[in-house]
Amino acid sequence: MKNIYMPVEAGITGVITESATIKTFRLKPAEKIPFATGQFIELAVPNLGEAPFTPSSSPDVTDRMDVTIMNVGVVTDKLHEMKEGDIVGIRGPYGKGYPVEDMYGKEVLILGGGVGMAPLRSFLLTLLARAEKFRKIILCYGAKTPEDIIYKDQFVEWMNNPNLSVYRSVDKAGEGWNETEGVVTVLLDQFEVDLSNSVAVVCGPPVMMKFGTLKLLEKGHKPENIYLSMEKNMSCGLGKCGHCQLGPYFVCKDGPVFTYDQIQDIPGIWD
Amino acid sequence: MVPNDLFVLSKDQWSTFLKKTASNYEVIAPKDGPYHLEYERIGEEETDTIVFPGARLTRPLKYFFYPPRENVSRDPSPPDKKRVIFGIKACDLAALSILDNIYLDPDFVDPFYKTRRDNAIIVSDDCTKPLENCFCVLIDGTPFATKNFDLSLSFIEDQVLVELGSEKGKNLLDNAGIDLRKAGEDLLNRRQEQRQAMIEQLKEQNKDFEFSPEKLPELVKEMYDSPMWKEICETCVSCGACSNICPSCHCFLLTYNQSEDKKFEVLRTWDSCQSAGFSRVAGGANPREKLPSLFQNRFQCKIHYKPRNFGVFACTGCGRCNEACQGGIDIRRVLSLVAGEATSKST
Repeated sequence: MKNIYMPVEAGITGVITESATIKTFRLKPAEKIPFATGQFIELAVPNLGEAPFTPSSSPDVTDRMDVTIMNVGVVTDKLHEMKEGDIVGIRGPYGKGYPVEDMYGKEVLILGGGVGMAPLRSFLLTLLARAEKFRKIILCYGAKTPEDIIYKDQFVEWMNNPNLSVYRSVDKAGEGWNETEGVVTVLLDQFEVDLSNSVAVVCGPPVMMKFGTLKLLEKGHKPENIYLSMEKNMSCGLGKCGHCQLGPYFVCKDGPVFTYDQIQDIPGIWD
Repeated sequence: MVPNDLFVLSKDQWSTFLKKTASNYEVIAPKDGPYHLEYERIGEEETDTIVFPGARLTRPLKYFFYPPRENVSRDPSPPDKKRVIFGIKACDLAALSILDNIYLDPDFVDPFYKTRRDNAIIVSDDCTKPLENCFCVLIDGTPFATKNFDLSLSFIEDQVLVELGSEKGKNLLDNAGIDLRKAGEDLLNRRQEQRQAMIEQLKEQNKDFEFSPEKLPELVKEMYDSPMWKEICETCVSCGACSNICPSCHCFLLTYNQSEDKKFEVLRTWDSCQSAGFSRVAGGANPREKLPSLFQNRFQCKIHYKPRNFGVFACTGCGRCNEACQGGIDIRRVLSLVAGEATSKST
């Protein structure tokens, strides 16, 4: 019988500094771990603990897994000290990812904030690899300041990709920023989507997800077409320990990707 | 429903059955302890010290399938002897429906729970003396086993009526090598009378509480935003005793040990949604920070989410939380208030 609590070992093969508080770790697990975009893993730091992350690499790339991590607590603090060659553990993948095939033929609007771009990068790369299947792909991304933008090099590629429209904003611009200044929701006023044939995919800090969703609804997007990555305090990732309970759902099993209509009646979803 | 096989054992046959079972299996059964009845290992020579209690023991059945703290990075190998657990009441069996759904979920089977569950034979018996806090009949329960048992016993004078619940139960009886006689109509009727009397008694002792199970999940759901929770949880100190003692509370925390030789030594420890940091994330946000929403979660989970997800209440009416609560909160009163408030809101 498989032991569902034991991680698979993975070596760190690269560390990329994205911003002052965010790093991307390239991982090579001891055995291949296929995943669907939007699923998450429990990343284990030896002798310390685990934390849940959604891989930021495309599932089409099978010989490595990237995780983009912000330093906020005990586990992530230790992770940020780790280097190439160090060993971590991976359990997973868990949960329901983004239903990419349901989005074929549609316009896909991606709304990301801060480190919320991590799962969205995996999703975006998945879309771009089969861009002809989607009517349009639009990426709106917001960060606090230009320094806080992650995947800076990749954004240059994305902004030159004919299959993708990119809109960016920062809360506080400073010198040299010639794109939008303001919260990311202001970007939604800069273009039109075909509301009868589109989906919106949102990920970022809770307050950004709340106002992003509200703005999307205001603009006419339907609740069943708004996809949210509801990250919660996970412990087991297996639908057993109760920590990630969101109303009647376990985010680790029934999510982390939910449509807004599934969760709109549950109190406290944006806390 | 196809009726299970029912056999009758005489007093002597029953005594032989217990002795044989104690020699072939590891027997756990209730025995007098310093404060109350407790589950103990019973050796072959001690089977006449077993006490079949009138109602459930304080300790819930879940202790036997997933202990409060367990190292889950070891190998979950089966024990040498299968284990027979006596003295289990219907309320603990009802909770098993919830626990099995969680721990034996086919997507992620917990090998530790499964090994213990597969190697345990559960012998239930009818309640004959409900406790002050028992209220199973108010919440779709009965004071006698209807599911999840391997054998179910009814003591009728000095005869023992044994109902088969499973293959495991049958093997247990066969291994004792007793001549089994089918129970006659008369004994079945006596059992039915005894059971009915218990139901009446439970209804009578709970007549001050007003709620009916069918409407409860919807009513509790309506109460998401009710200010009523603030009043109800005034005396709650978030000690978590209710979760600890509850037969169907199953939440836990995975932590990593500091180990000399292992990278990943994982401990699973019981946890409770009533503890302040239960849903707090590393960045500091805590969706259930204030007591009313924290307190409310347990009721939403037991009376609304679990019935919605699994079709059964996660509260079995055992009343243990009433006994354990430091703040004197009675779940029956909470449910009555919730049902009353929600009903008056909609009329």
